[in-house]
Amino acid sequence: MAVSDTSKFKVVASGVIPFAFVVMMMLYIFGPGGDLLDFGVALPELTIEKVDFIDSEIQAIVRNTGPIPLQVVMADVNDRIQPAAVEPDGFLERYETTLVRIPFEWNESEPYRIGITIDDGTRFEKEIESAAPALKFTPELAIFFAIIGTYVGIIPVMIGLLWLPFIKKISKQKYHFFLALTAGLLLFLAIDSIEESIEVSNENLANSFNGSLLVATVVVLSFLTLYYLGNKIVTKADSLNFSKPVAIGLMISIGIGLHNFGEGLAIGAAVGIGSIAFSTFLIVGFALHNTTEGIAIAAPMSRGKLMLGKLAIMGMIAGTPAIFGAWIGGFAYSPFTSVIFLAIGAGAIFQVILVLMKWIQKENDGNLSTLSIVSGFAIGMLVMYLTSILV
Amino acid sequence: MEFIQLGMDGVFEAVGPGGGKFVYEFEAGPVGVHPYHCHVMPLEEHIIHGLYGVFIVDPKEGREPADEMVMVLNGLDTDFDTENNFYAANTIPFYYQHHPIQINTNELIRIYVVNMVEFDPINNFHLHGNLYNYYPTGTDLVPSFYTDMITLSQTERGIMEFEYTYPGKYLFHAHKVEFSEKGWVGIFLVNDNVESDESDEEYGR
Repeated sequence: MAVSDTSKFKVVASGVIPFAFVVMMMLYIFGPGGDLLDFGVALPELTIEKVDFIDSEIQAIVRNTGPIPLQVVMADVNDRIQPAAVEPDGFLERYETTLVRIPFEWNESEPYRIGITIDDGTRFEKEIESAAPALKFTPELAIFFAIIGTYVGIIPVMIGLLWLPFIKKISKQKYHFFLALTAGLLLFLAIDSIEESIEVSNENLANSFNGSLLVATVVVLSFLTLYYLGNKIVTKADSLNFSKPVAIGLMISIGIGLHNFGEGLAIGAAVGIGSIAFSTFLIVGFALHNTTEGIAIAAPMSRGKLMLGKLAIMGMIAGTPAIFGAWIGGFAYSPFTSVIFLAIGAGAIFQVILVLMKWIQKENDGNLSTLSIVSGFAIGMLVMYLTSILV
Repeated sequence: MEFIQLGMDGVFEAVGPGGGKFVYEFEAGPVGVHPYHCHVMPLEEHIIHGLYGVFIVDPKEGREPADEMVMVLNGLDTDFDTENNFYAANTIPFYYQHHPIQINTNELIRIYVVNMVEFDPINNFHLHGNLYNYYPTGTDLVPSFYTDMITLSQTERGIMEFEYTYPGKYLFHAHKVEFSEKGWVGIFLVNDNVESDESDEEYGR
């Protein structure tokens, strides 16, 4: 026993010692050794993360995204200096935020450029294409968003599920076609989510967040988490009284649900920034687009018994997140959470694609290069692209 | 220095890394108000950060007694994008809006005004509730204009003279409104002359 204790200690020590050196180096660099590395000029950076238009006032939330502390000293609207209040104060350490309140009689749907000048005279600006009053939570508005979420999420997915009897009756070849089609649809959705999250991060997040790498990291983490949990569900499917198609259908609906949450955020935010016409268009587009998501759930489910209850639950899992997304996007929009959720959705979808492809491969005796599979995948991408033009 | 005089030929001087010292000697004249600035490159960058000044040459016989003040009109580029971020009279944006200049009714006010704004081709000076006599460059003792609005190009300057009859607050500012919204705006607080000034001394401290 004594011997094994010593060897355990050695293992722990050999793991801890390099780490201890890293800690010591960090402490030295941040402490007494800092002067040696004090080289070059650090430039301040400020990011205007959010602009709200409320009664006779414009509010901006700003964050110090640079390497050094700074002070917010002045606000302007359209490059004209305005009296303004900074709450709680203008002294910002790294990553600290503050609220700038500018009394201003703004007009709805006019464009505005909000500028903040800091203590060294540098000015930072954010452009708002069209001013709209910040949405306040009211029951009517909450219901309105719920209706939109239902149109965009639940109804189209349920309509898509109605193809199930059709998919049930077709031959094995054609069935593989539909499974591959599903994978194609999902791949498109995943790429779409990644593109959207990088776009939101580029437009709203400071460079110091490393937007693209943040997205990549979250996508991979989300994929790995669901890959691990998904395999658990599938291996336990029998003992849990799930058939494999149900397990796969459930995973697909969770992945699509996460994606639809992201879409809900986008719609809520579009209403929030006042582009109502754009929203109507967006809703019609999303609705058509999302009908295909119902097929994605229906395809694997068509091989088990017809389970209307389970199917309806899966439709709800895939569709209802659009409502929650619309609520959050409309009432409490934050670009950071949008980026995170879109990336989680993408990772979830990649995991579903992997499971689907494995299943198709098994069903098809290890062969993935049949015409029905390849053409299904290709057509899935194409259909999504064509319906995406409507959005 | 703007004038070609003995000891200073107005040519840009080379100044080495160790710095330098120049002595400018000249006879005061002509009568009027004149700006001066360095002759070291990059000159524009020095001007837009406020490196200049003003001197006044009085006529030998003197001018009529007045409450006199100098207003240098500035344009300040704080972020090096060759556009002015701030405008001001006497350097601090909005200063005379928040600290009005106190003057008295029925007392002659004389302002030596010098426009040092770069980048923007013109600046101007608009006075509320009054008109003023204007002497371009201050070289003549007879006013050229009686107006409430003069337009000044780069380093253009002159002398303004006016009196207020009624007490109150009177705005003065650039009527190139962008400049006034970026700091070149102020207020005259005109006090009634019959009272002693002591009661007003607390204001603005």
